[in-house]
Amino acid sequence: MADQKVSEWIWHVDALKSTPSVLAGLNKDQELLYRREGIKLISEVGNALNCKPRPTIGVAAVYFHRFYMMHGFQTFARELTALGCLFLAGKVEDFPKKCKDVCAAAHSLYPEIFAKYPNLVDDVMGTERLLLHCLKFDLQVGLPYDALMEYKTMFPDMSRDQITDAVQIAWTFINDSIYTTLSITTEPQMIAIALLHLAFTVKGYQPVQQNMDPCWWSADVSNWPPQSVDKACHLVLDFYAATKEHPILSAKKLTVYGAF
Amino acid sequence: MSSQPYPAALHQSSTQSRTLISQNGQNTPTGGGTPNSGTGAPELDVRQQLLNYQKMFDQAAYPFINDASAYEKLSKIGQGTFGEVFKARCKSTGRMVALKKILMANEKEGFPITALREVKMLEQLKHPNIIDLIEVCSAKSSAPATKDRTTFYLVFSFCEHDLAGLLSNPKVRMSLLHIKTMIKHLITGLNKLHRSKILHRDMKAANVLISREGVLKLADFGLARPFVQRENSNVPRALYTNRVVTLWYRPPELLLGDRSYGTKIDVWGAGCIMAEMWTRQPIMQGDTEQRQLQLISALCGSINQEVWPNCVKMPLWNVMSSDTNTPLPQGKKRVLRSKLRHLMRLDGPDGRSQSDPYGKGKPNEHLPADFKDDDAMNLLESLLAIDPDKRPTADEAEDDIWFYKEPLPKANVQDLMDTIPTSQFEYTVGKGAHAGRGRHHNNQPRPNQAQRQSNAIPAGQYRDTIF
Repeated sequence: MADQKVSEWIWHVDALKSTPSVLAGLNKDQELLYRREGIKLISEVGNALNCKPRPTIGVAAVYFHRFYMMHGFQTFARELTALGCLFLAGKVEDFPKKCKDVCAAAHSLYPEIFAKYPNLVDDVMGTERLLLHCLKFDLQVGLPYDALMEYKTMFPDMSRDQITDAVQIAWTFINDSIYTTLSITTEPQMIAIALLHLAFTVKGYQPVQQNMDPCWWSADVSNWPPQSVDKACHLVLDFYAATKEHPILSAKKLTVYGAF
Repeated sequence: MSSQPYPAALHQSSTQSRTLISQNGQNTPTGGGTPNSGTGAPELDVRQQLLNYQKMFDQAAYPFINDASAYEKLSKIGQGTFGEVFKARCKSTGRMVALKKILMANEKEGFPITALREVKMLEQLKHPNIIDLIEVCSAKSSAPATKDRTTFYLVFSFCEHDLAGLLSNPKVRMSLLHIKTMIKHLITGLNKLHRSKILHRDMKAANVLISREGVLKLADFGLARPFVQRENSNVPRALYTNRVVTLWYRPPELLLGDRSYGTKIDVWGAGCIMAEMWTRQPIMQGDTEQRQLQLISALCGSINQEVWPNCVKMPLWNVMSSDTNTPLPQGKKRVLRSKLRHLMRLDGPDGRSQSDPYGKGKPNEHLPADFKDDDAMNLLESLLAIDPDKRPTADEAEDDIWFYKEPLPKANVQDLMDTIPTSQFEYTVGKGAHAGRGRHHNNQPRPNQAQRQSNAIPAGQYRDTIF
C-alpha cells in the first residue's frame, strides 16, 4: 500500500478500495459504516465526558481512521479502538479523562455493545499501547479548525456577518467531517478550504477575487480544481444523506456483517 | 445486506487465547453465560479479538516501531524524570544513543501523560540546540509477571557530556569564547523552545548536554509543558503547578508561590547556568525554599516593591514576610556584579583563558578594566533580575550585544571537547547530584535536589511532578 500514500498519514483515495478490512472481506460501503459507528462511539462517549470536537474528539477520530488503514475491523474491534483513541487523545491534548470514567461512560451509554467486556479498563489500556505502536507516537495531529480561523480575515469584501456565518457553518461541517475518511485523504488545510467553500455554496456567497480567479484558495493550494474540491465536499454531503436515512447506532448496537 | 465470507484463520481458537484472558485477570465467560449483545457474535470472538491485541505484543513483531533489541545497552548514565537513562549502541548502524526508560509500572492511566507530552513536544522541537529524539522503541518486560508487559524507551542521539559534569571537572579549562559560544547555544535553544510555546521548567546545568561535536543541547523535557500566551488581559492566565524547577535554579516568583508564571522562569535558570560557567558550581545552593530566597537576596539584593513592584501580589508574599527568621531580609545590596565581575576575564592575546578554572579569583584583585568582560556581566545582570518582567525574553537575550562583540561566538566548542577524553556525565562523576561540586557544603541531605542525587533514590520520590 506504500505507493498509495501521499505522505506519512495521507493516503490516495484509491487506497480506500484496498484497506485491510476490504482485503479481509468487507466491502467498501460496509467499511465506511463501520468507521462511522466507531466515530459515533468516540463522539458520544466523548460528549458524555465533556470532551470538545476541537481538539479531543477530532484528534481521536483521526487516530481511529489511521488505525484502520493499517488493520482490519475484523481483527480489532472498533468499540475498543474507539475508546482507546478517545482515551489517548484526551491525554495528548491535555484534557485527560480517567480510563475508568471513559469506560463507565461507554458502559452506561451503550450497555449492549460493551457488555461483553467485563474488564474494559484493561482492554482499553491494552488498546492504547497498540495504538501507540501503530501511530508510531506521531500523536501530534493538525485539525482543519486552525486553518479555517485564518480564512476568517481573508475576505475583505465580505461583510463581517457573512463571513462569520460562513465560518460557523464550515465549522459544523468540520465537526461532522470526522465521520468521513476526509482526514486520511486530505490535508487539514485543504479540508478547511473545501468545507468553507461548501459553506459559501450553501449560503450562496460568492467570494470576490482580486485576480478573478474562481479558486480563492489558489494562493494556498495551487492546482486544486473546483471539481476536486467538490468531491471532498460530497464526502461530507454523502455522510449527511446516509445518516438521515439510517442514523448511526440508533439501536445502540453495532452493525455486524459476516460471521464475526 | 450481504455477508462477506470471512477468512477462517481468524477464527482459530487456541490455548493462547485462554492464557491471555487469565493473564488479564479476565474470567473466561462460559458457554451461554455470556451476555450476548444480540449481534450474533459468539463469545469466542471477543476472546479472539483480545487475543489479537495481545499477539501484537507477544510476538515482538512490531511492524511500525523499532524493538529495543535493536540497541545494545552499554551503561547506565543517569536518572531521568520517569526512570533510568542508558547509553546504548544501535546494532545496525553503530550509532550511539541514550535510551530513556519510561516507567509504566503503577501507572493507572496507561502510558504516562508526562511522557506523551515529552514525545509530543520533542517532535515539534527539531533544533540543533535541543536534544534530538530519534524514535520511541519498546521492549518486552524482563519480568513476565508484571502486568504491563511492554517497556517503552525514548531514543535520543547520544551526547558525550553534560554541563554540570564538565563544570565540576577542574581539568576542563574554558576560555571566554567557549563560554560565550555555549551560552549563545543555550539561549538560542531556549528561544526556540519559547517560540514553540513551551516552558522547560527544569533549567539546570545537569540538563544541558554537549555533543561530541561541541554543540550544546537542552535536554530533559520531563517537566516541560506547552503554555498559552495571554492574548487578551480579560482572560485569566492559566495556572500551572508551582512545584517545578530544581530549587537552586528556582526564580523568586516561583519561590513566592506564583502559579501564572511564564517564560521568564527559564530565563532565570539560564542566568544561573551562565554564572555557573565561571563559578564552576551552582551559585545559590539553598536547602529549603526559605533559605533559597535568603541566598537570592544576599546575591541579587533584597526583594521588595522597589525592585519588583508586583512582588506583594505573590501568593506567598505575606507568609514569607511575616516569617520570624525572614526569608526576605531587607536592606541587602545587590552584589552580583562585584562578586562575579572579576571572574569574567577576557581571553589573553593568545586566545587562552585567563580565568581561574576553579572559579576562585579574589574579588579585590586589581585588574585593568579591559581585562573584564562587562558585556557578559550586563547580560548576566539582566537574566538574574529579581522582577521577571525586567528579565529579557530569550529572543532579546539572543540578540544581546555580548554576542556581537569580539570574540564572536563560534559554531561549536569542538576544540574544547577534543581536550576531554572521557564522558563527563555528572552521574558518573560523583555518586550524587552535586557531590564534589560545592566544596563548602556538608553532607546533609538536600531533599529538593533528588534528581541525580543518588541512584538509590527512585526517580520521582522527592521529585516535583506536573500533576
